[in-house]
Amino acid sequence: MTAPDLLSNGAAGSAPAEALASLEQAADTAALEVWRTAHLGRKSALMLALSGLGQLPPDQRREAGQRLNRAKVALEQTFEARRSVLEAAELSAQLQEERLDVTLPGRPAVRGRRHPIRAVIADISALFQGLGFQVIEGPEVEWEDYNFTKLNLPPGHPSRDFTDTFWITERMLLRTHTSPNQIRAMERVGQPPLRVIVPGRVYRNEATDASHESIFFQIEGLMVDDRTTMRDMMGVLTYMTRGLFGEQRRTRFSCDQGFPFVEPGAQMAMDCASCDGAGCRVCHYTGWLEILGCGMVHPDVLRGVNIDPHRYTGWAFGLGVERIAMLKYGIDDIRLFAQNDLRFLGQVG
Amino acid sequence: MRVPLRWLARYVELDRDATALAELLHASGTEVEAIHQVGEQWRTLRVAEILRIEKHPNADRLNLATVNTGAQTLTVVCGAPNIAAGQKVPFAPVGSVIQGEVLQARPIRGIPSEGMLCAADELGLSGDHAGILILDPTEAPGRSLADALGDYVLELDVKPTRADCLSVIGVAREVAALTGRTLKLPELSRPDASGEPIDRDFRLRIDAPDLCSRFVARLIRGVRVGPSPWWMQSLLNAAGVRSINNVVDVTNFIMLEWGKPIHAYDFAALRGSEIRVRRAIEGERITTLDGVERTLRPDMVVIADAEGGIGLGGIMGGAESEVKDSTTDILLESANFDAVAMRRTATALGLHSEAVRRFERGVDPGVAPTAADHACSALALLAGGRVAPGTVEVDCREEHGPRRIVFAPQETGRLLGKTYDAEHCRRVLVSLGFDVGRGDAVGLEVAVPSWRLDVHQPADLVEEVARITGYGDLEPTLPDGEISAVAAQDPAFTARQALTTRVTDVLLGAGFNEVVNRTLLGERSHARCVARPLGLGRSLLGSLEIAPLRLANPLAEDEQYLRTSLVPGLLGTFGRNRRLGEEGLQFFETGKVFWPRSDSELPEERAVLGVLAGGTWPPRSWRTPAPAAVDFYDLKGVLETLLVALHVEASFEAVEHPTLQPGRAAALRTDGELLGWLGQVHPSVSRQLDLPDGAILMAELDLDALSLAAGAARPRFAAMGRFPDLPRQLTISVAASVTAAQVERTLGEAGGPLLAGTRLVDVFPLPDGRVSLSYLLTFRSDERTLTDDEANAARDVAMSALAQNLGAVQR
Repeated sequence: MTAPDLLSNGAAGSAPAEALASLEQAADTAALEVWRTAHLGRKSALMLALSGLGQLPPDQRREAGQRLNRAKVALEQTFEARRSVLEAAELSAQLQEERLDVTLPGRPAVRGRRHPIRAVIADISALFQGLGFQVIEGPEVEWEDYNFTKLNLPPGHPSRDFTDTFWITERMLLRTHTSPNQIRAMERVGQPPLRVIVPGRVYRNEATDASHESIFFQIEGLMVDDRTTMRDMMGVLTYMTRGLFGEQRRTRFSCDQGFPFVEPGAQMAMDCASCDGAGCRVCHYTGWLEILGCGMVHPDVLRGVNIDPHRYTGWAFGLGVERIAMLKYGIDDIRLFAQNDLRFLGQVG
Repeated sequence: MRVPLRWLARYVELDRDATALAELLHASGTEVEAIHQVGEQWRTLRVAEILRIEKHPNADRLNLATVNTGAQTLTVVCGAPNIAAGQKVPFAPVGSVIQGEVLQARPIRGIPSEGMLCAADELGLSGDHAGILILDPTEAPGRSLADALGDYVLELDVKPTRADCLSVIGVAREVAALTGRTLKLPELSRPDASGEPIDRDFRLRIDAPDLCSRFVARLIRGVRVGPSPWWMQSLLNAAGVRSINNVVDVTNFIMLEWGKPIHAYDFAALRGSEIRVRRAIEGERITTLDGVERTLRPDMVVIADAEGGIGLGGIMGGAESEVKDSTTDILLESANFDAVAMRRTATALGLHSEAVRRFERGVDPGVAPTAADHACSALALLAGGRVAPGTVEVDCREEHGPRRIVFAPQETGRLLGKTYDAEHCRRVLVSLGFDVGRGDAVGLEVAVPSWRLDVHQPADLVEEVARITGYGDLEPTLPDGEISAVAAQDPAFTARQALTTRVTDVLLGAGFNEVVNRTLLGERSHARCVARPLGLGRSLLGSLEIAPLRLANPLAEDEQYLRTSLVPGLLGTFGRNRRLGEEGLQFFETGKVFWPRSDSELPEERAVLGVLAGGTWPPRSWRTPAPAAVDFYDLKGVLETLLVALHVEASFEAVEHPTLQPGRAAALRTDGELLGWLGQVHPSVSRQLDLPDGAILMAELDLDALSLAAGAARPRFAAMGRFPDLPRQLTISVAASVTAAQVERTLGEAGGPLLAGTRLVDVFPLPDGRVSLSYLLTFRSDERTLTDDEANAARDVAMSALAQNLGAVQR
């Protein structure tokens, strides 16, 4: 049907059947676009007829205009309906095409693994920093004076002679514990108050096995002021234990006479986290795990750094970092820490 | 120290089981390493009463014993001569396992035996097979032998300062104090002295009073050497000491009971009538009891007669004066030797006897005569000896009286946080054997018992009160004291500590794994890390050439030097993981290296960051099936990222390093200061260390220098431009000798104020030997939107500078 046909005769206000039929034939949005150009485009018969309305005699214009507009609206509506159906189908086909196997592994993002020793030192440091303790360090190569004598371990003291020490010269050695830093910290600040912890490597000249290493890490702690007591020590160490192993952990302090630089001396155990104190292989069926040694700073040690033991009191502790890491992560061989096997670091770091 | 509870019970009433006792001892400072159960294998054996004995009809030497085993009356065949009606004896029913064999119901000479009566050796109690073991007459027939004879043995780890607990009486004293019971010391039955007094034919001299402070000698004549009674053998056995004969067993028994080693000499073997305690002569030789000839030094103590050494004082007796089966007269020594000398001698000779274990920790000199008295009495009783009247003693001690301490009970409150009153303190101290005088305003006067070598001042007494009361009595509190702002260490340390945390974060985020290597190295792994010495001096660049500190007493040859560099350790970590089949091998370590100074100074301990990258990158996956091998620029990029994160500007300049491949090494500097180095490990180093082929990139940075540079950096906010960037690409070719750094410096200088950024986006070699470089230049103005013409003009200015200065040609 041409434009003049449309103007002259009436398809009775309905869309031309031919146009509607061909719309049904458009199978995709591209075909639909071709149809739109043909039937609703500027050069389509309908549009040409609409723009030719002015040529009609005025008496016919109104009627023809209404008729043509109805036809246009009908075509447009049908076109839009058809278009949304086709678009939805096409999107759906596209999405179907884009389906993934979501179980395929992702592209790995890089992440380095933390060494458990460093992780435990960082955790413990953070707990103590919260209580106003400074984190300091000291030399690993030490004078025997600092490692022993100033800690109430004069030459000939049995505890000193039974310590397996690596010597460099007659006076120089690899520190056997982090405790020389008690002396160094007190010498540096001069007078109390003082709160420090000192992480670091220590050395023992002894054969290694699953629970003994010749090189390992300790954290020393020291607090000195004019009022602190053994009960404070117990409180702080219990706080640390719960911070590391959970709020429900219980601690138990017993006497330990093995450290000549503290008096009274103590050791702390916590109830076994593996069995909640019921007794298991980890705690050797005792329900308790020994964690650290501690005690009140010996008056002679205070005197040695010119701190008056009648005026000030202090307490100190030393813990083995590997031991904490072993308990925390269930590691059963201390030698693993020095091997730096990626399979090990990946598990617990 | 092994303490059988049956032995302990001789001195203190035990009111709880072994486990509870162990817990109590542990809480008060005596570590219990293990609790051994003795005699559980006797569970099926019974106490039996012998009702009557008849002759075996078919054998002269055998008897038929009718016994009441509690439930039954049975007849057993028995050959032992010592049985009699009415005795209580161990009975093993048919089916029991005795000395590893199942007891059968076999007729013996025609008469079936319905079980067996046991001798001490058959129970494993002692070596005694002289007769059936005769039990306590009050034992009830039918009781399990495990209950009648079984025992628990506490294995104690006694602390070096508590030598007094290396004795059953010492442990009993602790138990008595802890349980509120009374300590019952063994009664001394003084046998009648007879014969000539000891000092008639014996004299004693101490030439080395510094090494031997007290010597008590007694003489016992007419002993008969033989086995000791089974009860003594079984106690010694349970305590871990082998029974030898009655004389030696008595000396060992007294040592375990009192903690005082004593020694018995065969008096007849003595040459002359005098014993001297003296220092050994250099090179002097003596054959000890164990048959080993030992060469002595002057710091060792010799017990000598007229002709030479008869014993190594405090350590072990001599073979010649050993008590033999034929010995009749015993010279008993109860002496005190210097602890340090004992420790040195024992270590030098590798001789760690039970006596040494006590002497080297310190033995109470007060107990020397007591131990001698008890030994005399036991030798009279068990070996039929006659004790000679008198004692020969030399006492060289300077102080005799007890140590006295004025002890204010409120000291408990100051140290413990809980105050125990005078009454409580007195009760605890008295229960431990302290003598507590009347209190006054200052405090209690406390006399320390001679066996407590470890108690010297009030703090020691606070510990005694606290540990016997129980630390569980103290409720935990949190400190409320003042917090000091005074740095307990050099402030530079605190800065470095914070920096190390940031470095660690950046490297972990970049995919590098944190390692902690051992600080001790062997000669080879240290030296092999240097391809050829360059003499780079005392800096990170030369650290592998610094002669390391050497241990005087290393544990192993491959752990005798303190590391001067992190390189050997990281290469070792790389090699181990590579051999395990790992592909991505990125590691870092922040740790100390040790650079020696003189013998009179501690070494310089430098905090260093070491980084290693090897293998391939990124991790292999189906998205990256063939990751590339890491190269120099991978690690350089990581270091650059790190420096940006720390706001440190550093330059990389080509350098030669003995460990690194020539032309693939750079030094990092900031303001002329060396921060560290970066480079590819020299192939000959990899080969020396048996590392797999492939590039290994390493870097070391000085954490203190880095911390200083990062601390000097003052990052400031700069407003972002409001006007858009205009990018321009510039591709040039330059001679191969021109470095990227030269090009970028020229661009920076010639680019003018509008050049906001320069980024190299492509590099490739050209066929004519020149190199093509493509830069993305970014132009920007803070005042207006730039026009294309302005940007192009700025680029052209830069280009002509490149052409003029570096012979660059635009492509």
